[in-house]
Amino acid sequence: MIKSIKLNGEEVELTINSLCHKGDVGNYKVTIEKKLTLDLEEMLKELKKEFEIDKVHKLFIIIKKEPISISIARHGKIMIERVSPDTPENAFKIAEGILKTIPGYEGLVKIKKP
Amino acid sequence: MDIEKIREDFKILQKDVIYLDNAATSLTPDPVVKAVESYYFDYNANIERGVYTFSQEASKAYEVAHSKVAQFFGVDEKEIIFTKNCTYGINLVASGLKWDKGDRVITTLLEHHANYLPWLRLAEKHGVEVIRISPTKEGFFELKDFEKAVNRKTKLVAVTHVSNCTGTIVPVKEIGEIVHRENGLLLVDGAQSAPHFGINLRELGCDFFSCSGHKMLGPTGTGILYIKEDLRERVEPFELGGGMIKDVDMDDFSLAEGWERFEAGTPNIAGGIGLGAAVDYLSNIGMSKIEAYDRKLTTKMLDGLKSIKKVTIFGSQDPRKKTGVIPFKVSNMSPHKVAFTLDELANIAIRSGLHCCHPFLKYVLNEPFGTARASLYFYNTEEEVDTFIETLKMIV
Repeated sequence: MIKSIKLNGEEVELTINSLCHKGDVGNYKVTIEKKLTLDLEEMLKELKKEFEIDKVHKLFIIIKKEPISISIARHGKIMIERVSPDTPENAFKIAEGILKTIPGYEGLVKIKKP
Repeated sequence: MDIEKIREDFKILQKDVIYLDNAATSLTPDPVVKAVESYYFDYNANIERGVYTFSQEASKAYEVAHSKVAQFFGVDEKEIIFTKNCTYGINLVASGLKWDKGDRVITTLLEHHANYLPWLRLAEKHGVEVIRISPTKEGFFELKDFEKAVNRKTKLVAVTHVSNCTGTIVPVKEIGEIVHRENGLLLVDGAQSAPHFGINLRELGCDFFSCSGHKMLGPTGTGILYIKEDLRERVEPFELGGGMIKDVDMDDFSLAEGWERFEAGTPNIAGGIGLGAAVDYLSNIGMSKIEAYDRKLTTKMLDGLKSIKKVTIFGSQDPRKKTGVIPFKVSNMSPHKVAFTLDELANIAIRSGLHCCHPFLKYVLNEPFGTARASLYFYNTEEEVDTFIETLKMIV
């Protein structure tokens, strides 16, 4: 699934890809299709209000809210594990909670057909 | 083997990726890309239909590709059908043989879904009895389990040659002897074996052998199905159309005699020609050299993984009994997270999840969320294995 988001006034593509899944529990990779470097430290300040911090590395962070676990990499890749119901829409809804913590994120632009 | 020289042929490696997902698909060397490109740039035409020069050239190149592949596997060109992938070949056999209620098919819990689901469908559609033989956690079988399961009702045994989950090599020749004693047939899923060691299909003694072209340097959308000559007429093609007939009348038709009878319509001409170039590439290096080098890298990777306390290796750890498919897990870290962080930290590509092998992962390994899986090929280097191990150490 491909969506469009607005980041710092610019329209940017967001790809949501399904990874290996089991029954109605899925895993997804959400990629911001733009060369960028996320300020993970800044995002963490917001994220820790809602998520438990699992691992912090200069290149990525891992946060969780049972049963969901989310890995966020500095270059704009997000992996969401244990998404249920297993739909890309649901994965995107969860991803939005992360995207909101990126300084300059202005929301969804429009839905693009895959 | 001059690895550095070989790596120059794989342009994608200039992107500094450490590609360890070869069990999913191999990279494509320059001569294969050039063969595909040359078809489109130099003689793009449909095959077997034209008098004009381009069509003649294309037909010849496509036929030569069949004979190269046939030679690679030590069989006759008529026995080699080009398919779109390994899955297609297995499905062609499953749907093409005549099934009666009560026929027995024996498969195993080690199979990729490609060699599992078609047999479940037969049970549903034709009342075929499907017997599943369970391997050990290492991916080994007891031959006596096959001896017990094979009886006069056994029409087919469908088994993988090398597991895509554990890399273990299955004794298909011995299994074939058991099956043939009761006049059954043997189908081998060769997707993970054909790229890694030399195979003479006559010596292997199987009746059907299906493998992927794209896992052995060929273009995606290519596969190979071997049907032993005396069985060709027992398998009904499930697609009918142009290019596969001897003659057509108002009310009936007769099928061509060679591989053509299974390749209805315009085939993947460029892909097939590319596949021919791929087996040329492998043959020029030599499959025994590839096998020996694979084993050396596998040993090194197994040793490296064993040295990391929080890593559990699945499957056999004996490099003489397996190929370079190495499943593992890191304690307190999901397989996807391992793959994600390897990619982020060092541009290392591995696979994670259930590897289209749910029965084995769920019921034999008891790993319902799957494993991480690194898989090697001959263009990987010892330095890459070192980087992989060092990065993994950092992660755990």
